[in-house]
Amino acid sequence: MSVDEVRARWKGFLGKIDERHAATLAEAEQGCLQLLDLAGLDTNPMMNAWQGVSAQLMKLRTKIRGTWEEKVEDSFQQAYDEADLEADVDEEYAPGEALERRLEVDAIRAEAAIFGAAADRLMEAARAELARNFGCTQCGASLPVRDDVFRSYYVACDHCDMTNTFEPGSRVRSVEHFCSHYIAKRDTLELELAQTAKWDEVRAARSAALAQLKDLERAVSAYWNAFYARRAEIVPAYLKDVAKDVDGKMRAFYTDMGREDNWRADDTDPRFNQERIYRHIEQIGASLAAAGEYPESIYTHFMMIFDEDAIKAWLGELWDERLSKEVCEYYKDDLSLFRQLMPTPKNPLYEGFIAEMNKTADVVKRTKRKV
Amino acid sequence: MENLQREDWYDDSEQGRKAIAIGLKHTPERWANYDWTKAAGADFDWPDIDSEDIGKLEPWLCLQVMEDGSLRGWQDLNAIPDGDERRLEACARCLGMPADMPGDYDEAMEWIEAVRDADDLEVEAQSRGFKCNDIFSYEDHLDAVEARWEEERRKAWGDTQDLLDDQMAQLKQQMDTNIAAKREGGELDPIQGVSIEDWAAANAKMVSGTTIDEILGVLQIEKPAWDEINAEWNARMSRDASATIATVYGNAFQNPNIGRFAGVGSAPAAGAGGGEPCDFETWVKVGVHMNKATEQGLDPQTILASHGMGLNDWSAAGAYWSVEFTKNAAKYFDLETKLRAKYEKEYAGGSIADDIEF
Repeated sequence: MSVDEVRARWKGFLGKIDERHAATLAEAEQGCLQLLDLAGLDTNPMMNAWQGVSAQLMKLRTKIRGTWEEKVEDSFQQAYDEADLEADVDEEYAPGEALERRLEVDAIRAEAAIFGAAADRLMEAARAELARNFGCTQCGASLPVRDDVFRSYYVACDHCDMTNTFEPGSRVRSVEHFCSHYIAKRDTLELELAQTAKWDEVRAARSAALAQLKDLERAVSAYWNAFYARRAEIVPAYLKDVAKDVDGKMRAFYTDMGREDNWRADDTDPRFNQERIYRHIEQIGASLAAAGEYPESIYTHFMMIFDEDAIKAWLGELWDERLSKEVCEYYKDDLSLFRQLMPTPKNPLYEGFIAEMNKTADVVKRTKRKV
Repeated sequence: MENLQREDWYDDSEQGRKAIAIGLKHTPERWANYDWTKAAGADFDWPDIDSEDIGKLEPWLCLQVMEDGSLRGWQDLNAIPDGDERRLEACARCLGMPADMPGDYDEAMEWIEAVRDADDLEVEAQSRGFKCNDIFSYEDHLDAVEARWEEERRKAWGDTQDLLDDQMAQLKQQMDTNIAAKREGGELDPIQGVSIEDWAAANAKMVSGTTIDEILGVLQIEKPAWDEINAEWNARMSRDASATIATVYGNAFQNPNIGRFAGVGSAPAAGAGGGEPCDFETWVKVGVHMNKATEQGLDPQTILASHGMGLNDWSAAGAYWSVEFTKNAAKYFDLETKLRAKYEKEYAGGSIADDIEF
């Protein structure tokens, strides 16, 4: 075969994969929702079916790489050799790679659409259920049931003052664990895809530039903020945890970033600049204050640069009450991390510091309890 | 006769010192005249030796014949307690390894099997470089070569196992540190008096049929409190990127007969007390079946039920066998590969990609 013939064949093969993928998705979109209706809005059969579809779609996508390695690459190589061409055969894989990525995004979009639509249907059913009349168990009067709480709770009867326990059915309950998740996922899909694309770029770059990493940070943060905020719009009970939820995701992100050289070398961000951390340590003893709001990431750094003797020396020479208080302030929410950083409580100054930390910890705990 | 060297260094036992002395006294030239069959310690009855006696016996040095016929290194056969093992070691040393033998364990085993299965074993053995002499037959040589391969494999797996053990120990240590940190940080503090262990045990009990009302009775709370507790533990778990809370939960879920739930509901899942919850083959088989079924859009729990198992049984099986597997990788690795291949074939389903060809 000539190079053009192999190319045409490769294109034809990719076309068939693309067509089958699209047809399967179209069938799945319709079939999954029909299954949901047939199962009386029980999501399990639909989820199982989607798992199957998803696995089959994955097989289609992996067939692109598999067939390239098994047959296509050699065919191109042979055609190149016969034509006495000295080009890079790997470049012929580009359309395959592009298709694989596009199909993956298509599948993600379809999943978001299917599960989002299922969540809408359930949400509608849940609201209809909550709009029904719930009578007081003592006097039968209509109870003031809320339309934005989807778990059991106590409801006082306006008529006789009896405290009733409102017990929602499974459809109403599904709003918390199913609807809020999938509606938020669908509604923030573009942000999710944007951050995924940026992750792909960073991974492909091997040693990504700082600007690229900062861009990724913004994309990741934008996505999680939007996702959790949207979820809390559906289930107001989640509102109080949005900041914590986002923080949990960002902590994981910063832990990942700890492996990026350019991120660590960032001169403008004291949280991740190793040189700066050293300077802080030298200047103000345990300037763990640099950890700020991301103690886990800083912990990763300290694990790399600290040694026991250095800690002792710095603590001995540079520690004072002011620093102790400063660090307490920074670590008040997560003292355990600081203790992991300082596992050698032999220095009297350090012990004094720990005592100070414990006092702060108690205060923090008491405050939390009050809140 | 280059490369003469001592392969073993026996402490300072009488036998060890003697063996070393014999070894040292022999120059390469002198080894050429050394007849291992006439050594003072030789015993061709190959008896098993009490390991207590090793160190006090007359040494029986035997050299290794290399592919080119040269001799290399000695081994004191009388330091091997098992008679059969000693005999095979002597055979492998005297007859050497077949020159064209494959360098891969599986291929070498197939090679040996091919000789054993041949209509004329001697002809086939000879053609593949196996030998015999006055003391050892072709069959002996086959056994000896096989034993050598097994030994090499054990050693190789020994290194891998050490690595796995180290990793497991490190992971455990890291997890212990994480757990301690989470406890100190308050993230494992009970929610409305319900600890993570209580919560996990309650969920495990419900999976095995205990009713929510019984659970609430044990915990002495009402449904609204239970719902809040559920939501909060789920939220904490979801925020914990280190999976520490999930690990504590998983451990309690595996063994739910703890604390307030001891004796509540069904008997503990098999394996929770340390025994095998099911045999290894069943674990692999059911796992493969569930994966394959999921790929076909079937409900994995239905598959579990078709094997007479529930979620708790499966969870107990996973907890038991994944640890056993890692602890004994040499024992289970090949077996798992074979069983997996067997059941993947048995439960194979079609793929929508099958008919698309380049």
